[in-house]
Amino acid sequence: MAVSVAEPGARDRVERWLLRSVALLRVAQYGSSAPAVAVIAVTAHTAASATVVASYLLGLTWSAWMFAGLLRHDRVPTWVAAMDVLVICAVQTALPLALGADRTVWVDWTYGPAIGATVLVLVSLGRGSWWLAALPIVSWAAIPFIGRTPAPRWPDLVGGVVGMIAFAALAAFAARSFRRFAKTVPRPPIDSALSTLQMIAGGGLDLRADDVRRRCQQDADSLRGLLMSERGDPFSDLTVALTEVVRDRSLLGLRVHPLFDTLPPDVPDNVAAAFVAAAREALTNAAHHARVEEAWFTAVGTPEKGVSVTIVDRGKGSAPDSAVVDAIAATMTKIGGHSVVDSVPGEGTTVELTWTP
Amino acid sequence: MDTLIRLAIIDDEELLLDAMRITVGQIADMDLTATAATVRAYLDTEAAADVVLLDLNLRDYSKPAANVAALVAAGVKVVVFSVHADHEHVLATTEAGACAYVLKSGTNTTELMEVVREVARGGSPMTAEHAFSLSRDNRSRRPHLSPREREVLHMYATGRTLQTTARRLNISDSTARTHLQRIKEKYQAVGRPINHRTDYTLRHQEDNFGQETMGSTPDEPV
Repeated sequence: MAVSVAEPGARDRVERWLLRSVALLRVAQYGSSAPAVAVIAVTAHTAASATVVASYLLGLTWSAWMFAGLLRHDRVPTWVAAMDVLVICAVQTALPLALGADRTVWVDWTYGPAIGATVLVLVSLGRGSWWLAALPIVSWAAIPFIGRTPAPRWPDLVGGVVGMIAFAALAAFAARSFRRFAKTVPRPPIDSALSTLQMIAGGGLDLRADDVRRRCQQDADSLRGLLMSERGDPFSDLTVALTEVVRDRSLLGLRVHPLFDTLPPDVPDNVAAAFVAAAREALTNAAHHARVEEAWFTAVGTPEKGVSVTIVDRGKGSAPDSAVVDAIAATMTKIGGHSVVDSVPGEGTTVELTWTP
Repeated sequence: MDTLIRLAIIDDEELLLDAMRITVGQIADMDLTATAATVRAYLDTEAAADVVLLDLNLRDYSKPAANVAALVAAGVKVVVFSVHADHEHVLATTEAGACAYVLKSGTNTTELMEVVREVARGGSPMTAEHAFSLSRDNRSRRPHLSPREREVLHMYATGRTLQTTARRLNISDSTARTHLQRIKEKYQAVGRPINHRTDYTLRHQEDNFGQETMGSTPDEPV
């Protein structure tokens, strides 16, 4: 979608900060087991203790190498996150198999890194990869059942699993919140207003000229639409895109009153593009066919996390060109949305566009 | 309209006040009785006005809702005239008793004066922006609106005319207008908050108790 949500740096900074946080979490997770593993390495000179120490060093080395690469490129490829899960699951399976029933030297250093692998998947790949994120937890829970061991201690097992799930959920929620609050500045309307002010300050414009006043009005309407939509949250891409539509149509001479509120922050690109295209058609129709000077453009989020856009003109109310109605309907149908056009002579035309995820 | 409407304007933009003096001076049924930069300055003038056009954010950092409440307590009808359409401000000033909320942006003098006339007649005009903010009120302490009131509000809030709103809902224009009036009354009924100690004074004045006790000493029982 060609949305000019500018200052991409804000989002990049948040992604970098999240990656560093996950890396620090991994350092803490390996660090907390380090004293116990070191004691075993020094005091117990058996094959079992050597296996525990070797597995720990293997996990530590992998994590160090992985995060060194991730931090260098500031991104997490899917295969790397999957490999991280694979490594911890392999260790959690191989280690108890190698130790068998002899778990006197057992140091469960994998608990923390298993959570770390889950968090990395959730933070970098999103909730769609929950099944991959769940593997380290399942793998950790299976440890007591591998090899010939006494019956598992259920309270410990259930408590451990609940703790892992809770920590992972908390991390995913925190990452989502940080991303939402990554402030982005919608450049086009602000740049336009700045440029208008600059031209006026430069003395090159006749303030009484109709086109200058119209331009000032367009800038004011765009900014007001943005400010109205902002309730402490950052502007969504859809808000910025629709503000642009309002401003574009205003350039045709149509005064558009923006009424924006709490549009969902994560609308799929194709849905946003469909709303932009359909809204543009509806406003163009109002400008060209309804012969009105004003239109009202309402864009709000619905309780079902969908989007509702209503374009109202108070023109003569002749039915819009059927080609326009069909084009709007086709655009909305493609994304599973709906459109309703209501036009009554003397009462103007209303176009309603809705989409529910 | 035969009756002369006494109008006052409170705005901290001197340019706007100058322009309004010229504009209102040419309107036959309007008499600009006072202009002021703050509500306190206006109240100090003791000018008589039927309707006050009030800018939302004044440079004395006074609270918009407190300003509206103080003017309502002084017995004038308030039309908020602002560049802002933030939901928070619209809701707060409506609850404080503002009769109408009009945006400076894009409202021409004719439209503004029509709103003033309707308010002076005792009407309760509602702009689409005003209705929109009320329709998006998701606070826990919002007034309870009936399903029909919500339908009228949501439909009118998209910019539809009263006639179109009424037709879509199969009700008469006057019924739709009554619903909008009732909605505003419900907001005003719950809009007597005490969020700050100064609000006690405002509520006190609104209840007409303040006038009796202004002259009393702190030791005298109220």
